[in-house]
Amino acid sequence: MQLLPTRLVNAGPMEGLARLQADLALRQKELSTGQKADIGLEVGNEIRRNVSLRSSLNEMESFQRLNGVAATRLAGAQTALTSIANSASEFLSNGIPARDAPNARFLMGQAASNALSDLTRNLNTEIGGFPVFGGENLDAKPMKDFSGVEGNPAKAAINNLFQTEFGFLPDDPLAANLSANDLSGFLTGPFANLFDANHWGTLWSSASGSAMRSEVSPGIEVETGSTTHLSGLRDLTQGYVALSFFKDTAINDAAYKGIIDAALGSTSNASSELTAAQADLGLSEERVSNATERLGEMQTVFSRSLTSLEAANPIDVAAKINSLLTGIEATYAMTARLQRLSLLNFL
Amino acid sequence: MSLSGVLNTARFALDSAAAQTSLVSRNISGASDAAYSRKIVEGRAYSTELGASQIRRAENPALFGRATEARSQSASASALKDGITQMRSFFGGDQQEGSPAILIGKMQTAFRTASSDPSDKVLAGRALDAANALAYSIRSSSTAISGMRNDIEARLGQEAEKLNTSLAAFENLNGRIVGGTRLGQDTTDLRDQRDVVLRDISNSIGVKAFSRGDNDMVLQTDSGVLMFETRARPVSFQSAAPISSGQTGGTFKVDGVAVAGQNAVMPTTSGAVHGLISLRDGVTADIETKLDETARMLIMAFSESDQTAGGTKPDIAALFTADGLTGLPQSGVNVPGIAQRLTIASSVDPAKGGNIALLRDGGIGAPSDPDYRRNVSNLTGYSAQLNALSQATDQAMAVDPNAGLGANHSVLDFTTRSFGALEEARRSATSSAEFTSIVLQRSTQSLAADTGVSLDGEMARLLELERSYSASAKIISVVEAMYDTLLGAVR
Repeated sequence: MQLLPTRLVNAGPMEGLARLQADLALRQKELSTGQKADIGLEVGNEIRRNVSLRSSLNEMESFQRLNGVAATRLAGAQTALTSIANSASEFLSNGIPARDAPNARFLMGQAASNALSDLTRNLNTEIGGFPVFGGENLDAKPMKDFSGVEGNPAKAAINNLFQTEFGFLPDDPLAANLSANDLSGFLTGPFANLFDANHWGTLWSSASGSAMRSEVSPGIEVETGSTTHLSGLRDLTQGYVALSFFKDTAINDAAYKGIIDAALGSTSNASSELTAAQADLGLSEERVSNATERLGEMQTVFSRSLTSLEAANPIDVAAKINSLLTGIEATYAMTARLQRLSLLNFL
Repeated sequence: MSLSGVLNTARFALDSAAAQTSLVSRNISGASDAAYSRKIVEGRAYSTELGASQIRRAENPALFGRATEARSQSASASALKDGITQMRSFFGGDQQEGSPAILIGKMQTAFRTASSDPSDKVLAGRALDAANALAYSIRSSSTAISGMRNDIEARLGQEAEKLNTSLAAFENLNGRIVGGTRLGQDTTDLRDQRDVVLRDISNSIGVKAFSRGDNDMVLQTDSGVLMFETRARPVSFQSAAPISSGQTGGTFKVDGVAVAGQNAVMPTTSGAVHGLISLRDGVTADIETKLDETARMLIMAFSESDQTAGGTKPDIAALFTADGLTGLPQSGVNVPGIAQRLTIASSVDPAKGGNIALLRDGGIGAPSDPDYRRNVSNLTGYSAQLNALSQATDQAMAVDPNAGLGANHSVLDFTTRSFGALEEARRSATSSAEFTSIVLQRSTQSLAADTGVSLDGEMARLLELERSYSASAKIISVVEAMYDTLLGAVR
């Protein structure tokens, strides 16, 4: 049997101390951050799960944020369309009886002007600086103001077409000789063409033809805006413009009645087209909210998974710290006592 | 036995006690020295000077061999672990915030946000910043790893020098030990010193020691190459610095035989040299390749093609490109060193005189060629290009199988797996380092238990010697008294 070398006896307890101290430092870090320290060291390749979860959570959070913006924009567009549709049906319900009134021309013309500026205002709705009816053209007002200087090109175009058709301008006294039949051909032909997809962008609106599309959840794109190019909106504009433009021209009242009839017809058409457009918009709104809900559920699940992988249980950590401190104290006590144990003290 | 015989014996006993006391004092002086082995008296001492036949040192060749082996294993494992831990630090902390995988996610988010309002230059600027951050991270970590590999070349050169110095010292000591043994001198302290030199050697390279007659020693590497036999054999390292991505480094040779590096015919399996070579040619080279693949995949993922219907112009590098890159890299084939040249096209960076609107419009790779432009109608709210940019890193593409992760992945998936591989290497190396360190601790402790000095033991021995000294002295005084009596009787 050999006596243990003095060097080992004294150094023995202190060797373990380094490990205890390193452990203590890690546990203290865990306690203050609430996260397990250096997870990669413990799990190795499995860190892929943490990275994927974290990546996915970041992605979902960005989708939620952007979908919130999209939902607000769609809601703004829907509100505007509702207002436009209500205004159109009010116009129809007032217009049909007013058609035969003595001052029909004045009433209808005025009503149309008002409805047109209302329409213009609604179509220029901006949500957070974003023109919701601009399609993919975001830096100009979607709808030009017909009553002001912006409407001059359109007015000039109408005048040109009128001149080409009849040989004189609408303000010309000769225009008083035109009948309703004369005008109806004009209205359903060249005049109507001014509001088709080709001319709309030049004369009436700076919006582009397609609505904005955004990704609302990975791989799923939805329309998150609208455009003035909707056929219902164009038809409405056509009716309102016809009535307000020709109100103060030289054409006679009978001919004007023809215009009233045509306008009421196209407005009624437009109403049903608008209903369809609002349904489409509603579908987009639903898709966005579905995506948001689904993402929200996934976020909860992923977040819980990541927490279970990375969170440090404060109770466990505190207990470990306690036992480490006890161990360190015991090491110090042992070392001190062993120092005193020597034959030299007894000689 | 006459009285004078007794006197002689007592005198010898006194001398012996004195000599053994000197041994005790030697032991006490070496008690706290880790390199000192306990000296023991053998047989009976007949003079004040203890010769080689009377002193032996406490030794345990089996335990010593085990501890030497353990030391080499631990040196190798800790060199590898330290290197991998350093590499990991290039990629951020516990939230992996510096890793390409997380930075790619941030870039995707930035593109997606920009696509919600394509006319907003601030959002586009943030997306560009995110792309720049990703490129910078890949470029700088690749450069850092390259620097590490070249540092290893320097360290290997230093290890070779250290070994040559140690072997020269070993030769010197060994010569003196053999000579001293033949002359019957006490060589125990020299042998302690020789063990220290051997310990240093075993840190650098795995070594097997064989004893011959006259306390001679022969050293071989753990793979069997002769390092020392009467004379030291030369150790050399031919540095291949500067090494670039994909290149292997220099070869470590002992006695002209390659023991580590490329074409090592008798490769060593332990010691710092082994750990460093493993680090240089294994893990760091592997991570470098993965970063190069990541860079190449980013360039391909964001490349642009001819937008005209039936267009035949070739695909070009666009948002992500590399200094000195012409055309596109080949699909599925690694380009060593491309990670250090990864950059964002200056055509889209306002800080370099570029136009940020190209992010929305396309044509980043050829701003003056309308055939590559996507936003042909010049819409300020054109979102299709930005949407495509945010999804580019999710598209699967061909990967070079030499990167060790399969042949088909999206960039996001590839970077996630690469990170996993790095952490796995770190976990495994750290666990090895801990294990070998514990084995080393245990074996050195066992050895020390056999060969160390116990002060209590020496003190007890001293008491014994004191008593035997006084007993012998007593005998002398008794004999003296007897002589007096005898001579008194004769007178």
